[in-house]
Amino acid sequence: MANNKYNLSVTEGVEPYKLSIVDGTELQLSLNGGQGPIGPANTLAIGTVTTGATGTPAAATITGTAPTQTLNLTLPRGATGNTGATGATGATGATGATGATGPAGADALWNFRGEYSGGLSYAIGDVVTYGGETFYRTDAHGGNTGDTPSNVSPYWDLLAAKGESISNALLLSGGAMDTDAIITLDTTPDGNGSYLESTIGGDGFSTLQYTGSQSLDYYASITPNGIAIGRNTDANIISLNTDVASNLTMTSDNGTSVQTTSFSGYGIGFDNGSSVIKGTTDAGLGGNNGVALKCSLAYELKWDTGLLYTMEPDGFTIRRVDHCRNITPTTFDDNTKGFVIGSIWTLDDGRSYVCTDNTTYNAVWYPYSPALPVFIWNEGDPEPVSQNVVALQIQASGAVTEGQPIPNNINITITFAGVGGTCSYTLQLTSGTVFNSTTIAASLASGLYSEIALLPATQSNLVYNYNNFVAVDIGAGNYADLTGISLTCNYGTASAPANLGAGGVIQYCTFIPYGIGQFIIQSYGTRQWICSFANPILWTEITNSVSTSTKTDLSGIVYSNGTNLISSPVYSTVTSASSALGSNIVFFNSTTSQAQVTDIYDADANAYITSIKASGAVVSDYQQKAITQFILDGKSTGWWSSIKRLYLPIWGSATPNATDMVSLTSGSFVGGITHALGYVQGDGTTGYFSTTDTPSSLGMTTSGGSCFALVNQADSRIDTRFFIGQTDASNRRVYLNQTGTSTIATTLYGAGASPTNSSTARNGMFLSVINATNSRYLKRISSEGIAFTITVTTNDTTLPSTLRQPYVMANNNNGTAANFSDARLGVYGFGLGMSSINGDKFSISIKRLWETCTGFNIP
Amino acid sequence: MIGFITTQEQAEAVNSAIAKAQTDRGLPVCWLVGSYFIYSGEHEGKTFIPCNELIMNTPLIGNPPKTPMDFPEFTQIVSTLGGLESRINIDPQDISPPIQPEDS
Repeated sequence: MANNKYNLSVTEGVEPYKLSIVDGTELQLSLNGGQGPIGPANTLAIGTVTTGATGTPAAATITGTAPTQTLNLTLPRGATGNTGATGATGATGATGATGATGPAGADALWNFRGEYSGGLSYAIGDVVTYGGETFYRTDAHGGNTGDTPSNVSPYWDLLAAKGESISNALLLSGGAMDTDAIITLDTTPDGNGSYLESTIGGDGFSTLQYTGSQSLDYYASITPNGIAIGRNTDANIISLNTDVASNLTMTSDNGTSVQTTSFSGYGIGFDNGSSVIKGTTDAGLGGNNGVALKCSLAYELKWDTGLLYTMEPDGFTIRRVDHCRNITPTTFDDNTKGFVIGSIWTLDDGRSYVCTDNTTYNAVWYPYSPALPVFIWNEGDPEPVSQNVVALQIQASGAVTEGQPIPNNINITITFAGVGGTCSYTLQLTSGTVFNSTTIAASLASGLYSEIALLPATQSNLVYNYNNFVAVDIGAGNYADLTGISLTCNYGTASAPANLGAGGVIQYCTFIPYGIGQFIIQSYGTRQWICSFANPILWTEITNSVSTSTKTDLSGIVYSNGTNLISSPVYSTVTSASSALGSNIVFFNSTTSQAQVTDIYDADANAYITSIKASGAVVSDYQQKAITQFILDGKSTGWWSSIKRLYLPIWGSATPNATDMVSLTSGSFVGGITHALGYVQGDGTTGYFSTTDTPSSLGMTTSGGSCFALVNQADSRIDTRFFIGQTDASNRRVYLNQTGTSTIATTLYGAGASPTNSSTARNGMFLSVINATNSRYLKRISSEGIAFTITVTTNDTTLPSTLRQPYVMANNNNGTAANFSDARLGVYGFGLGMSSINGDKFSISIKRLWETCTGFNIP
Repeated sequence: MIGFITTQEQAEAVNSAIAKAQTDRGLPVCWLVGSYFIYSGEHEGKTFIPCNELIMNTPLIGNPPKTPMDFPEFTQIVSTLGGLESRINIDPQDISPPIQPEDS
């Protein structure tokens, strides 16, 4: 490195610098000449500033070295300048001492002279009022008279002009609005001389109307004590008085006549949601809505046209109407007036009627009796007080022990007590008889010990124990058929009604309580007769509203063989027919002829009703009678034996809904099902009903089978949905379904046997039947009547289904539920084949059954 | 559609238990929850047991009617299936079998 030389170039400014290393120990730096580096910036501080004498030159010196230097200045004083502007005023000086009191001034010339008078002279200073304005006299005018004040008069100055917006006086009194201040506003009297005076102040605000004679006519006031609106001659018409717990009082008595306090809108409401209102509708018709007490749940108790209505929350449906004077319901007291099945109608004398059919213009009302109280006590015990109310009393003369011989003859006396008096019957149990249900029944059936005497003088209340009876001929102790009781031509000159059939035989008779001492026999058709328990007993025909009638006596009831049942009502006797049917009564004469009057009863119906009740469902009297009548109709007509499974799912829960009316067996509801009162409805996805039996096990064959469904509301979807369905791999099918658009299709075994309903309606009662190997029909009954489509097919060679039970609300497709429906179904089932005529009767009976039991109408 | 996803075997056991609860009380088997094969969707091939409000509140018997929730067996079954909180919501289409032609 000692001999090496290095050249370094450093760029700084514009001239290069060179660095040379000349040997190993010294470093020599030679710089090429040129401009040196820029030095630091100089600072110049102001040092002393000295005032020189006027006229001397100014001087400046710099001391110190760069970059820190100081500038010292010497400046000569300038010449004297011009005089400046005047300065601001100084502060106010202190108040001087109070001066001496001056002389008293002259009195003001102000002399109020009242209203201007043209006959007077006025001096300067006089003040007068004229034309509602006030003037000041400025010139005496030499005591001249007649200088009428005006705002242009040279002798008067206007002191106070009349106001612009207040037509009359504005009077302020009591000082400057102190506690006694009152502002009174008066109006100009009108042509009748009355005017209004309003005041503000004092106790509050009031407006009064006076007549020209200054007498108070009307008033309205608002004071701290309340609000009152009234008339001078009245008590307050409306007052809200805070002194008495904020009572609101409306008075409509003006002292001379009854006035009306009127409400419009929604009447009077209470904070609990109840109200007093004008009735919601004119239910019952004939009135003008009436006045109603309405609870928070919208039920109305309405007084209208002198009748008292109990209304459902819709304000139209009538639960009951009371105080109907002596006016009985007619066929026109129907659904148009708000009556429904079950509506009650009560007269002033206590008689009641129940609506069993509310069809427009064809309403049906039956006499109705509430449940009858029964009193039982031993002989010698105090009797209950009847107080002229209807009551059934049973009195036994001794005690018996079940399974033991009766020690002495025991008389059981049954007494009916009612408004018209009492009547009694005696049942005697003879000594030595072993007391148990069998022996008692046998004893009663024999008639030997079961006679109950109908006391002729007091039998008028017997009817109270009768409630929808059917007359049954039991012949000489033989429970035969229903054709025994007939009416012969005891109609005077009238002929026997056609609907009684040949010989005037009544197929069905319904005994209905009808007032005091009467009951009605109603034939299955439309004819009715009133039986009056008078002496002699009278029969009056009341065919619908046509009251013709012919009165006959009880001898009009004869056996079909023409033998008089009772020759004279005086000697008629009544007996209990069977202990098993406790309310049975047998009419018989002194010899051997008998006729039984008993409740509507059918063992199959009773078993079904009992089963339904056992599952917790409530079955009303009307439903029981409808079910009983339905089965009786079926047995009488002949279709009952064809029905193998019939489900009536109207009870609101699964167990009773799953019960078959025929066999009392139970199917199963699966998945999502709504159990409504009146129908069941699947959820359309998972819900269905499994009937547990295969068609073949029920006896259905390729030449005899049926299935049916009452569709209250079809599935809204436009694809294939099954009401009832069963299909399997062998094509042995039984189903009833709705198809894609509007039709109903059915198949009973085999392809090609699918009659399709041509109607566009998918609601109604549908019955599909195969009667023979080549004949099938599909019937539909709707509110419009019965229609059916029949399809004739070739013989079906497939076998009856033996593997799959039908599902309801879905199809059992080889064991898998499919084609779920959310239709609402009221009845469904299966059976054997039946004739077209029986199919019609069956469909009508189903319709009547469902409608009576549910209160709905078939679509 | 709310319910449980399970196997066919367990679904059959559930319905058998519900049937037994009824027969043990001397009642007919009038109600079952059912079981439904899942044809499509996330759980395709499994079995669905519906258990929505409609099903749990089905009126079964008595007045006022008792519902499945009134029977301890049903509550136990729900617990066995994982409790109500383990239910899932599936598309009803997933358990809907193919619609049959009306005359197939």
